[in-house]
Amino acid sequence: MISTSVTPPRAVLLGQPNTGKTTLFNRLCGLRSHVANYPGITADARIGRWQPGDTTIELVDLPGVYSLDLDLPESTLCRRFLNGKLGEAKPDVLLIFLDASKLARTLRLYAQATRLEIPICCVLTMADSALQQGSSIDIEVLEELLGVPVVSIDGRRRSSLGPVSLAVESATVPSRTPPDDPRDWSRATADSAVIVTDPEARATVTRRTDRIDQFVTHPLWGTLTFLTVMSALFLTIFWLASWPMDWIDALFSVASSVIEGALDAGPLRSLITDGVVGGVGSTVVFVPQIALLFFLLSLLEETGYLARAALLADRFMRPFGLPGHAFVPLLSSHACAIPAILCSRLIPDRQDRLATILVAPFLSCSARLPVYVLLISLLFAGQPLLAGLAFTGCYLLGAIAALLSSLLVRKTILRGPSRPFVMELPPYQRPSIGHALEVAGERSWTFLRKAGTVILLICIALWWLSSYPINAPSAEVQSLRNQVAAASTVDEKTAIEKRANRLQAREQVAASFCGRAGHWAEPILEPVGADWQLSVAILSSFAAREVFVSSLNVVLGAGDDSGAVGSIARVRNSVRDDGSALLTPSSAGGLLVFYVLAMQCLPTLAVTRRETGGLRWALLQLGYMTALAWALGAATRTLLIALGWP
Amino acid sequence: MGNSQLPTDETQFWIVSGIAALAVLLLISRLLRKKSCGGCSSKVLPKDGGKH
Repeated sequence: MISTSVTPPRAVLLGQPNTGKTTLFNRLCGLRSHVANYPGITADARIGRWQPGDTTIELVDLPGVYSLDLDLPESTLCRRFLNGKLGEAKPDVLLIFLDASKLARTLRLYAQATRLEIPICCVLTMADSALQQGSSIDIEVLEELLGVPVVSIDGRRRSSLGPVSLAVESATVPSRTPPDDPRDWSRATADSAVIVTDPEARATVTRRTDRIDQFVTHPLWGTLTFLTVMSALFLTIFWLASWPMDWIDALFSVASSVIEGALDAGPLRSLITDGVVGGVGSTVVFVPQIALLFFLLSLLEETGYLARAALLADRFMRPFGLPGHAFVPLLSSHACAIPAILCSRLIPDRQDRLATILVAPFLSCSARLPVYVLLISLLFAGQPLLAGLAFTGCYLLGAIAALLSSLLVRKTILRGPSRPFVMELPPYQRPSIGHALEVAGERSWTFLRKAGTVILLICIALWWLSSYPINAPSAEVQSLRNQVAAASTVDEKTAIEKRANRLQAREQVAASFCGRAGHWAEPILEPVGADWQLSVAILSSFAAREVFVSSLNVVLGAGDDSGAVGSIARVRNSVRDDGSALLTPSSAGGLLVFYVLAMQCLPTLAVTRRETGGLRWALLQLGYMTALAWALGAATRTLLIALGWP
Repeated sequence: MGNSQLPTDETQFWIVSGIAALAVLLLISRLLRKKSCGGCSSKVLPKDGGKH
């Protein structure tokens, strides 16, 4: 049915929210857009290429809409796109998504789409949910009633590709047009196509769902459940990830030792061991944590629990001036603030949208994970329970900062009430392990790619800046070298030589370009617990927070002769100029709070600027978040010291 | 001590400085040509201008 022309034919996925459009889009195009078991994930039209056999089809994933006639941003976008009013030609084929468990309601959108006079094929999803509710769909009857091909699929399975391809090939303009008010028609059509296999099942499922919902959305029990679930999640991550982390750490240490054994001491060896292996290794070591976090979160999302958490969160968000629509963007922010800010486009009110964009980067994203893990590992070494709780605390602190900041901006520069929230709760469903593994793999690969490119390049540049200019050894080092010659035993000689090497290496880094920048920034960052070495790591992670860990390892590695094995051990064993520990509990606590709240992400600022249409909101976001992070980081450190923590 | 035949420290300095300069250039070029976000995993075709 698809016409052949110079440009590839265009097929558009259209359906109500949470009917599996993006899942199929990802499956067909091999892309990895974010999908979850709650509505409103797709904020914009996404375009991908699908190649069934020898043909190439341009596939467009539109945001989910309940109706094309509503005065909402997503409805307007779909309406304009389908009518060819966005500078693009009208689509060649429409794939209308029908939810087998809510057939009558989803048929209303189909009825509206028939007015567009575009060839249509229908994709029936959620057949498993319908079956749980004691019903199934007679595909042949439905095809007969609609006059277009209908294909039943599970978008998560590869076997769906063939049937969808055939359905698109045979798409046709419907011969029967439903009436202008399609409510009776859609109900009658659904009644004819639905086969009820177990009349009691729907009532049983509804009762069970209602009972669970009453508990998990209860203001007290629901909140406690949410906190318990999140704490258990982070505890599991800390507990399970510690083994693979140790293995990776050991692997990089062995690699470093092998290179040191094979090459003579000199700049090239130092670049490879301290700059490349030390810097990249200290980032790669966090991959198990990232993979586990996204694996478990994906499982949680798919069950439908997070949509209930959204409802619960709405009660807390509204008094703080955040609209209920902000929940999905804010939830997306746990992965990355950028899609969260883009997702805010679906918030109809400009004031609501601006408030959401301003506070979204407070939510802990995956880039913060390595920093959290490093600092929490130092704070609670060998105490996974406390470490898990501290992790939950970091996420909570980010969320609380977002809420209070929203309250502040809504009372000052963005006055006005926020809109109420209406969201359809998806059914509870069994999560797919395969899909969760795919998500975890994709997130880990993205992180590894970044470690192998941007972070590697930053580490090389930073190594050079912390190694040059060459500084002449001080009188103290010279004196130690003279003592080596005069030492009577081999052990004494080795000990003095080690001391001289360590001192010289440290003096070298302190006098390097990096060291000078660190010394310059030290007075500003000292209140949050940073000395000049930590200041270098903070400055270098301005563009991307996760660089903090690798930068710190490069700087410490260049001045290290302690033989500490592993990146966390190296940080733990490092000292300041006065001989005290580099990261005492109070410093680690101050820095942890600083990194929870600081805006150390250049791409997010660029997106804020683009989405708000001006630099001033991005600058406000940067200034406000940095100032808050500094103030609360310093307060935390002072408090910890007052409580007796060194 | 290793057993390699590496160039003198001065030659090594020029080599590592060249590598560092190249790293900075590559970093700048990556930042300039980046159209979509580097943080999330969404791969976006250029056609939608990095919107996702």
